[in-house]
Amino acid sequence: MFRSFTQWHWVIFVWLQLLVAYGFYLWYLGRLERQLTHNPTEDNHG
Amino acid sequence: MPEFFEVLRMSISKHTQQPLWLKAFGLINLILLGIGAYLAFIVSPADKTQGELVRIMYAHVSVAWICFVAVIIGAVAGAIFLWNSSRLSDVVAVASAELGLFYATLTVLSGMTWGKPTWGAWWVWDAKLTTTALMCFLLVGYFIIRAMIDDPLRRGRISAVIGLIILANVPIIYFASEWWNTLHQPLSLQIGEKPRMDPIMVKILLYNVGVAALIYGYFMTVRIRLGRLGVRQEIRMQEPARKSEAIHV
Repeated sequence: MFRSFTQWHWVIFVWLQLLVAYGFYLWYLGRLERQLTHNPTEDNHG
Repeated sequence: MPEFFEVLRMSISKHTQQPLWLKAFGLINLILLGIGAYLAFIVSPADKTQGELVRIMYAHVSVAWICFVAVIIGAVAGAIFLWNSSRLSDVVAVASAELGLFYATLTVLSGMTWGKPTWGAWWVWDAKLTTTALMCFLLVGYFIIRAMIDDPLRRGRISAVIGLIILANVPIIYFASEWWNTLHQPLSLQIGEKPRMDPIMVKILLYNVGVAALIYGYFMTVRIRLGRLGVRQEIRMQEPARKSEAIHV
Protein backbone atom coordinates (compact mmCIF):
# COMPACT_ATOMS: atom_id res chain seq x y z
CA MET A 1 0.00 0.00 0.00
CA PHE A 2 2.70 2.49 1.05
CA ARG A 3 4.95 1.65 -1.93
CA SER A 4 2.71 3.66 -4.25
CA PHE A 5 2.73 6.66 -1.89
CA THR A 6 4.05 9.90 -3.34
CA GLN A 7 5.62 12.61 -1.16
CA TRP A 8 2.25 14.39 -1.00
CA HIS A 9 0.56 11.22 0.25
CA TRP A 10 3.01 11.05 3.16
CA VAL A 11 2.45 14.72 3.98
CA ILE A 12 -1.35 14.29 3.99
CA PHE A 13 -0.99 11.09 6.04
CA VAL A 14 0.90 12.92 8.83
CA TRP A 15 -1.51 15.86 8.92
CA LEU A 16 -4.44 13.41 9.04
CA GLN A 17 -2.78 11.72 12.03
CA LEU A 18 -2.76 15.11 13.75
CA LEU A 19 -6.47 15.67 13.03
CA VAL A 20 -7.46 12.14 14.11
CA ALA A 21 -5.41 12.46 17.31
CA TYR A 22 -7.03 15.80 18.22
CA GLY A 23 -10.46 14.28 17.47
CA PHE A 24 -9.62 11.29 19.64
CA TYR A 25 -8.57 13.46 22.58
CA LEU A 26 -11.76 15.53 22.24
CA TRP A 27 -13.75 12.29 22.28
CA TYR A 28 -11.84 11.15 25.38
CA LEU A 29 -12.55 14.45 27.16
CA GLY A 30 -16.25 14.14 26.25
CA ARG A 31 -16.35 10.60 27.62
CA LEU A 32 -14.62 11.70 30.82
CA GLU A 33 -17.08 14.57 31.23
CA ARG A 34 -20.01 12.20 30.71
CA GLN A 35 -18.61 9.81 33.33
CA LEU A 36 -18.05 12.58 35.87
CA THR A 37 -21.34 14.40 35.38
CA HIS A 38 -23.49 11.28 35.02
CA ASN A 39 -25.52 10.71 38.19
CA PRO A 40 -25.75 6.93 38.82
CA THR A 41 -28.83 7.32 41.05
CA GLU A 42 -30.81 8.47 38.01
CA ASP A 43 -30.60 4.93 36.62
CA ASN A 44 -32.28 3.49 39.68
CA HIS A 45 -35.38 5.48 38.94
CA GLY A 46 -35.50 4.18 35.38
CA MET B 1 -18.79 3.01 16.55
CA PRO B 2 -22.00 5.14 16.66
CA GLU B 3 -21.25 5.67 20.37
CA PHE B 4 -17.81 7.07 19.47
CA PHE B 5 -19.41 9.77 17.29
CA GLU B 6 -22.10 10.39 19.91
CA VAL B 7 -19.48 11.13 22.58
CA LEU B 8 -17.45 13.23 20.09
CA ARG B 9 -20.60 15.19 19.19
CA MET B 10 -21.32 15.70 22.89
CA SER B 11 -17.82 16.99 23.55
CA ILE B 12 -18.22 19.73 20.92
CA SER B 13 -21.96 20.38 21.21
CA LYS B 14 -24.06 22.52 23.54
CA HIS B 15 -24.54 19.48 25.84
CA THR B 16 -21.06 19.90 27.24
CA GLN B 17 -20.73 21.88 30.46
CA GLN B 18 -17.93 23.99 29.01
CA PRO B 19 -18.57 27.73 29.29
CA LEU B 20 -19.11 29.64 26.07
CA TRP B 21 -15.65 31.25 26.11
CA LEU B 22 -14.01 27.83 26.30
CA LYS B 23 -16.05 26.50 23.39
CA ALA B 24 -15.16 29.64 21.41
CA PHE B 25 -11.47 29.11 22.31
CA GLY B 26 -11.70 25.55 20.97
CA LEU B 27 -13.31 26.75 17.75
CA ILE B 28 -10.69 29.50 17.26
CA ASN B 29 -7.97 26.85 17.69
CA LEU B 30 -9.57 24.75 14.99
CA ILE B 31 -9.60 27.73 12.60
CA LEU B 32 -5.96 28.55 13.47
CA LEU B 33 -5.03 24.91 12.81
CA GLY B 34 -6.70 25.18 9.40
CA ILE B 35 -4.63 28.31 8.64
CA GLY B 36 -1.51 26.43 9.82
CA ALA B 37 -2.29 23.59 7.42
CA TYR B 38 -2.83 26.10 4.59
CA LEU B 39 0.55 27.72 5.31
CA ALA B 40 2.24 24.30 5.42
CA PHE B 41 0.59 22.91 2.28
CA ILE B 42 0.34 25.96 0.04
CA VAL B 43 2.56 28.83 1.23
CA SER B 44 5.67 26.89 2.31
CA PRO B 45 8.17 26.21 -0.48
CA ALA B 46 9.43 22.68 -1.07
CA ASP B 47 12.83 21.85 0.41
CA LYS B 48 16.00 21.41 -1.70
CA THR B 49 16.76 17.95 -0.32
CA GLN B 50 13.48 16.76 1.20
CA GLY B 51 11.13 18.09 -1.46
CA GLU B 52 7.47 18.18 -0.42
CA LEU B 53 8.21 16.05 2.66
CA VAL B 54 9.38 19.17 4.49
CA ARG B 55 5.68 19.96 5.04
CA ILE B 56 5.63 17.13 7.59
CA MET B 57 8.08 19.15 9.70
CA TYR B 58 5.42 21.74 10.61
CA ALA B 59 3.20 19.05 12.14
CA HIS B 60 5.94 16.87 13.65
CA VAL B 61 8.21 19.53 15.19
CA SER B 62 5.28 21.49 16.67
CA VAL B 63 3.86 18.46 18.50
CA ALA B 64 7.36 17.40 19.62
CA TRP B 65 8.03 20.81 21.21
CA ILE B 66 4.63 20.88 22.90
CA CYS B 67 5.33 17.41 24.23
CA PHE B 68 8.40 18.87 25.99
CA VAL B 69 6.34 21.81 27.31
CA ALA B 70 3.68 19.40 28.64
CA VAL B 71 6.27 17.26 30.43
CA ILE B 72 8.00 20.34 31.91
CA ILE B 73 4.71 21.86 33.17
CA GLY B 74 3.63 18.48 34.56
CA ALA B 75 6.92 18.07 36.42
CA VAL B 76 6.82 21.65 37.80
CA ALA B 77 3.21 21.13 39.00
CA GLY B 78 4.31 17.84 40.58
CA ALA B 79 7.19 19.61 42.34
CA ILE B 80 4.71 22.20 43.67
CA PHE B 81 2.58 19.32 44.97
CA LEU B 82 5.62 17.92 46.79
CA TRP B 83 6.07 21.34 48.39
CA ASN B 84 2.47 22.25 49.37
CA SER B 85 0.35 19.08 48.78
CA SER B 86 -2.33 21.14 47.05
CA ARG B 87 -4.79 18.96 45.10
CA LEU B 88 -4.95 21.56 42.33
CA SER B 89 -1.23 21.17 41.54
CA ASP B 90 -1.75 17.39 41.36
CA VAL B 91 -4.66 17.91 38.97
CA VAL B 92 -2.46 20.17 36.79
CA ALA B 93 0.41 17.65 36.93
CA VAL B 94 -1.84 14.77 35.82
CA ALA B 95 -3.49 16.83 33.06
CA SER B 96 -0.10 17.87 31.68
CA ALA B 97 1.40 14.38 31.98
CA GLU B 98 -1.61 13.00 30.10
CA LEU B 99 -1.10 15.55 27.34
CA GLY B 100 2.64 14.80 27.46
CA LEU B 101 1.82 11.18 26.68
CA PHE B 102 -0.63 12.26 23.98
CA TYR B 103 1.90 14.54 22.26
CA ALA B 104 4.79 12.07 22.74
CA THR B 105 2.78 9.32 21.03
CA LEU B 106 1.86 11.72 18.24
CA THR B 107 5.52 12.74 17.92
CA VAL B 108 6.62 9.10 17.58
CA LEU B 109 3.86 8.28 15.05
CA SER B 110 4.42 11.37 12.89
CA GLY B 111 8.21 10.85 13.14
CA MET B 112 7.87 7.24 11.99
CA THR B 113 5.71 8.37 9.07
CA TRP B 114 8.34 10.96 8.15
CA GLY B 115 11.12 8.38 8.57
CA LYS B 116 9.66 5.86 6.12
CA PRO B 117 9.95 8.02 2.95
CA THR B 118 13.19 9.78 4.03
CA TRP B 119 15.20 6.95 5.66
CA GLY B 120 13.39 4.01 4.05
CA ALA B 121 12.40 2.53 7.43
CA TRP B 122 9.56 3.10 9.86
CA TRP B 123 11.86 2.70 12.85
CA VAL B 124 15.59 2.78 13.57
CA TRP B 125 17.17 2.39 17.02
CA ASP B 126 18.52 5.90 16.80
CA ALA B 127 19.28 7.89 19.99
CA LYS B 128 16.53 10.49 19.44
CA LEU B 129 13.85 7.97 18.52
CA THR B 130 14.77 5.56 21.30
CA THR B 131 14.79 8.23 24.03
CA THR B 132 11.42 9.57 22.79
CA ALA B 133 9.95 6.05 22.88
CA LEU B 134 11.44 5.65 26.36
CA MET B 135 9.61 8.82 27.44
CA CYS B 136 6.33 7.35 26.13
CA PHE B 137 6.88 4.20 28.20
CA LEU B 138 7.82 6.23 31.30
CA LEU B 139 4.61 8.26 30.93
CA VAL B 140 2.57 5.05 30.60
CA GLY B 141 4.31 3.84 33.78
CA TYR B 142 3.37 7.13 35.48
CA PHE B 143 -0.33 6.37 34.95
CA ILE B 144 -0.04 2.67 35.83
CA ILE B 145 1.56 3.57 39.17
CA ARG B 146 -1.06 6.28 39.83
CA ALA B 147 -3.83 3.76 39.21
CA MET B 148 -2.29 1.41 41.79
CA ILE B 149 -2.33 3.90 44.68
CA ASP B 150 -5.56 4.84 46.46
CA ASP B 151 -4.26 7.41 48.95
CA PRO B 152 -4.32 10.80 47.11
CA LEU B 153 -1.36 12.23 49.04
CA ARG B 154 0.89 9.22 48.45
CA ARG B 155 -0.31 8.95 44.84
CA GLY B 156 0.48 12.61 44.19
CA ARG B 157 3.93 12.42 45.81
CA ILE B 158 5.06 9.26 44.04
CA SER B 159 3.80 10.45 40.65
CA ALA B 160 5.48 13.84 41.20
CA VAL B 161 8.83 12.08 41.69
CA ILE B 162 8.24 10.02 38.52
CA GLY B 163 7.33 13.25 36.70
CA LEU B 164 10.70 14.73 37.70
CA ILE B 165 12.51 11.60 36.46
CA ILE B 166 10.68 11.92 33.11
CA LEU B 167 11.70 15.60 32.99
CA ALA B 168 15.37 14.55 33.04
CA ASN B 169 14.74 12.80 29.71
CA VAL B 170 13.68 16.03 27.94
CA PRO B 171 17.15 17.60 27.39
CA ILE B 172 18.53 14.19 26.42
CA ILE B 173 15.90 13.88 23.66
CA TYR B 174 16.30 17.49 22.53
CA PHE B 175 20.09 17.38 22.21
CA ALA B 176 20.32 13.69 21.10
CA SER B 177 20.92 14.71 17.49
CA GLU B 178 23.82 16.96 18.63
CA TRP B 179 25.37 14.62 21.19
CA TRP B 180 25.30 11.41 19.14
CA ASN B 181 25.67 10.49 15.48
CA THR B 182 22.08 9.98 14.48
CA LEU B 183 19.98 9.61 11.36
CA HIS B 184 17.63 12.22 12.75
CA GLN B 185 17.71 15.67 11.22
CA PRO B 186 19.67 18.27 13.25
CA LEU B 187 17.78 20.72 15.49
CA SER B 188 15.31 22.78 13.43
CA LEU B 189 15.95 25.95 15.46
CA GLN B 190 18.42 26.86 18.14
CA ILE B 191 18.30 29.91 20.39
CA GLY B 192 21.08 32.38 19.52
CA GLU B 193 21.93 30.66 16.24
CA LYS B 194 20.98 31.61 12.70
CA PRO B 195 18.24 29.28 11.40
CA ARG B 196 19.47 26.76 8.83
CA MET B 197 16.27 27.00 6.80
CA ASP B 198 14.43 29.57 4.70
CA PRO B 199 13.00 32.48 6.80
CA ILE B 200 9.46 31.80 5.51
CA MET B 201 9.79 28.20 6.71
CA VAL B 202 10.89 29.44 10.16
CA LYS B 203 7.84 31.72 10.35
CA ILE B 204 5.44 28.93 9.33
CA LEU B 205 7.07 26.55 11.80
CA LEU B 206 6.78 29.07 14.65
CA TYR B 207 3.15 29.74 13.70
CA ASN B 208 2.34 26.01 13.85
CA VAL B 209 4.18 25.67 17.17
CA GLY B 210 2.05 28.56 18.49
CA VAL B 211 -1.15 26.85 17.32
CA ALA B 212 -0.09 23.55 18.91
CA ALA B 213 0.59 25.50 22.15
CA LEU B 214 -2.89 27.06 22.04
CA ILE B 215 -4.48 23.65 21.44
CA TYR B 216 -2.46 22.33 24.40
CA GLY B 217 -3.79 25.27 26.44
CA TYR B 218 -7.37 24.44 25.42
CA PHE B 219 -7.00 20.74 26.25
CA MET B 220 -5.31 21.60 29.56
CA THR B 221 -8.14 23.96 30.55
CA VAL B 222 -10.81 21.33 29.80
CA ARG B 223 -8.80 18.55 31.47
CA ILE B 224 -8.10 20.60 34.61
CA ARG B 225 -11.82 21.46 34.94
CA LEU B 226 -12.65 17.75 34.70
CA GLY B 227 -9.82 16.85 37.10
CA ARG B 228 -11.19 19.28 39.70
CA LEU B 229 -14.64 17.76 39.25
CA GLY B 230 -13.10 14.31 39.82
CA VAL B 231 -11.38 15.49 43.02
CA ARG B 232 -14.67 16.95 44.34
CA GLN B 233 -16.40 13.63 43.65
CA GLU B 234 -13.57 11.69 45.31
CA ILE B 235 -13.85 13.88 48.43
CA ARG B 236 -17.67 13.51 48.45
CA MET B 237 -17.35 9.72 48.21
CA GLN B 238 -14.81 9.61 51.04
CA GLU B 239 -16.98 11.69 53.40
CA PRO B 240 -19.63 9.01 54.23
CA ALA B 241 -16.83 6.51 54.88
CA ARG B 242 -15.16 8.94 57.27
CA LYS B 243 -18.49 9.61 59.05
CA SER B 244 -19.18 5.88 59.46
CA GLU B 245 -15.67 5.40 60.83
CA ALA B 246 -16.37 8.15 63.37
CA ILE B 247 -19.58 6.40 64.48
CA HIS B 248 -17.79 3.07 64.98
CA VAL B 249 -15.01 4.73 66.97
